[in-house]
Amino acid sequence: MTFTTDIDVARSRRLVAGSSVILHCHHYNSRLQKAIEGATAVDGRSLWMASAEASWTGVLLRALDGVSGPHERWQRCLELYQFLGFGRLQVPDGELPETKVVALASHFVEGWSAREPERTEPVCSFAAGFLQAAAWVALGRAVSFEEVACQQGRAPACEFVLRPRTGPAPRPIEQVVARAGDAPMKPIAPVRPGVDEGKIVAAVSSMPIAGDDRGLIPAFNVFLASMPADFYNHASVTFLAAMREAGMGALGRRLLMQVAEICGLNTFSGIRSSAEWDALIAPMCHDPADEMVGLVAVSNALGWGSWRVMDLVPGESLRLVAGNGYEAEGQLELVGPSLEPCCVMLTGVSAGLMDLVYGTGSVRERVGQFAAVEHRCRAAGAECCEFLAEEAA
Amino acid sequence: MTGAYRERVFSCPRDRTYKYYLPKEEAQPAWQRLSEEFGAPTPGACGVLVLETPRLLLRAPSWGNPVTVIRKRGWSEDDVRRFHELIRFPGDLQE
Repeated sequence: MTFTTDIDVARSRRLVAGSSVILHCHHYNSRLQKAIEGATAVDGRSLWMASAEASWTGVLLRALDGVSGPHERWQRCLELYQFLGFGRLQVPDGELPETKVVALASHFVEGWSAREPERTEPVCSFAAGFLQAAAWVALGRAVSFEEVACQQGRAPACEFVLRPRTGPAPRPIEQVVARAGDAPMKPIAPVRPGVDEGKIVAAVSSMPIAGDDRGLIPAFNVFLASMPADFYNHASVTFLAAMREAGMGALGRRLLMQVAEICGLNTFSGIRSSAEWDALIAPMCHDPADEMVGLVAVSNALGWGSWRVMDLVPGESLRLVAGNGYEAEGQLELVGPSLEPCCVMLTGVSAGLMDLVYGTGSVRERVGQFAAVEHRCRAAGAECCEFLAEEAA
Repeated sequence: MTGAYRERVFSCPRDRTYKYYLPKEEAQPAWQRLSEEFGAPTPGACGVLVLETPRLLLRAPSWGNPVTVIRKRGWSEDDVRRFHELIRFPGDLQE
């Protein structure tokens, strides 16, 4: 495996092969897929596939820069997919894909089977979008891939069959890049002086987070994946635009926020019960408020952008600010200024953090105990994004 | 609580993951016995001690307590029973 993850500490960003990637868990990714693909008012499945294909096309173009020869280019695509934690892809009948590609493991199958083990329909549309991008970028072949067998349906491997393509060849989306004026939040005096955020960010950033021999990243008691930031932004922006057009913009936002709230609960619950937490962060924590600051510090190593806890009233409210959240950057880059706050993921996670630290009951029972609102957003002209999570009415 | 106890850890990648809390004075002797049986632990990221046995993965902070035990593919009750003997865990009603 020839890839490495570069950490931009100042901006709280993770970079692999020239692209910004965001760490999320299998719960978030599969729930996001379900929210978008399951929306009946829009063609969610096509939107999801289009975002996968377009974002991967750009990511792979950057990753293959300077790599020549079809075998090397194709192989590098599969290695990147495995490195980022999405699973392991193979061509079963040769070196280059002529008829089909199989997946021996799948990040998305792990997510769906954890939540809906009874489901048997294929769930790997994200992988199909990747393969379409890879075939085009590595081999110059504009084809479609259809998943005809899926491990979610108890197949031994997911199987993707090549089909003739009827539409235009894959096109990359513009990469969301930092602008000269994009400054992360300036460090402020810590609200909990016992919690050393810099030490936490440095330690978590140094963790070797890469796909194993199955192309999965079991860490913090969940399966992580390094998702191209372009994918999240493209999927979110196009889905919300389609929902607005269908007269259901508010519902679309609520859907994405709830997915993120559950992510905040599951991912951070796994982090808080991990050995890394015991070793590094638990000794700094003396009460739940310390834990909250520790969790936010961990999130600053996940590539989401730089967050800060501004105010915390234990058990009641949490005010967070993000100087360079990836959603605001994506909105500005892909669409332009927004009329309303657009950071649905960070809003949902703000509520999820409060659910986790101050909620009661099982993880599932805590969903919805707190609610969050984004009061200011950089995409809407504010200096930073600001979130307030409070006990739900 | 004064004796050793364990808590089930919510873990998607591995079923039946437990975190074992040992009495403070028992942690180092327990790790000594584990090291004699399986070899010395190695330092991992974030200050985590890691000891990989053939079918269990043990992870703990540098002071050895609590011990998170992840069951690898092919684990058996014998593996868990032997681990319990080594850390002097008396057993409980979980599983």
